[in-house]
Amino acid sequence: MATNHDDPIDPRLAEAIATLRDTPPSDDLWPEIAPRLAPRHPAGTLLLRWPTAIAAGLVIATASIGGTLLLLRGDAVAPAPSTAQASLATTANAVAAAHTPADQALQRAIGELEGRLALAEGSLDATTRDGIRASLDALDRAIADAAARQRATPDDARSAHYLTSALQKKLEVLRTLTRRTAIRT
Amino acid sequence: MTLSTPLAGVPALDIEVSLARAAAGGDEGAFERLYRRHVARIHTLVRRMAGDDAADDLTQDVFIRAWQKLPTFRAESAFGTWLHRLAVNVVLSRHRSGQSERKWIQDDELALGQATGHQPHPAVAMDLEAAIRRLPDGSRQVFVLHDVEGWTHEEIAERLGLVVGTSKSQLSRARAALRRMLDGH
Repeated sequence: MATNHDDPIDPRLAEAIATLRDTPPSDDLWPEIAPRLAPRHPAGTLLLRWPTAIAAGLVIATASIGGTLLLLRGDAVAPAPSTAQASLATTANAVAAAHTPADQALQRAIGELEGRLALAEGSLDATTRDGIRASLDALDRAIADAAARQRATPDDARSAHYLTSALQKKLEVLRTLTRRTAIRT
Repeated sequence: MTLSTPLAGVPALDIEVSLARAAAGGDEGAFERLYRRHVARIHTLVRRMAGDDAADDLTQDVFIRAWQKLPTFRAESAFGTWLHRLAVNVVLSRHRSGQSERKWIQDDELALGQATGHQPHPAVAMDLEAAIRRLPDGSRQVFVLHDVEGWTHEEIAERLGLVVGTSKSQLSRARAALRRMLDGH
């Protein structure tokens, strides 16, 4: 084996290298690439594809709920003034279209818990109440995005999955919130 | 976005800068034209460096990464040069993540012995492409980058995280192995 690092290249090998030619792939790869290109807004920044955007919305909502739950776990918080009877955003407003029976059942359960939470809202301080509203608004935006996507692509199984996931997440959050507010009140 | 155009005046490069500018702004049609112009070159490079099995997937990754990074392309070099460097980065990041230089060389020496020790038949002529495919990863990458793509040992060493001497010795071993394979013994 050659050990001289600066060996000149063998002329026959150099000749063989010179004959190398570029060859395209046997199949056109563009049909695989094109769907994976994230859309860009005019400034050149990539936009999130919708599943990522919806998932991100849920993550943000879940993260904000965490802060709200900490507030609910606090020791002594002054009750909110009696004017705090503004209704919470409802999922029914965000999801106008009819969905699967399972989604409809989720919506009914969500509606019931939203009613219970609204009743308990008056006993919460303004900061906690605002935190709950912000968290539920974020969830409703994710649900609205998923519902809009499902209306636009009714045959897309992923759209249905994201909507159901978003509804389940809101139900889960509402269960936690109503349990915590019940303990506090 | 703004692209400076130090390459202005060379018609083919002007076209590519225009296409790159359009693609950076979100024009997928322009990006497809760039793909069509460069796919053979990139696929060949990737195939030589990473092998046939990974070539299609890696080529797709290169173009998707290019789409993501296009807003950073400043047209200070030709688009093809920029894309070529990107392709090398994609291949190397896939193939050598977390591997130490010592292990890389040991694996290579073992594989070199196997590659040159099992010739199917001396009379069977083996072309250079086939011989390159038989080289182990490290030697193949150094050989392709240096002798086929024209990189310097300093550039290779910097990009592969090697010392220059290792790049030189890998090249020397690769050339010797290729000569033996091409000679059929």
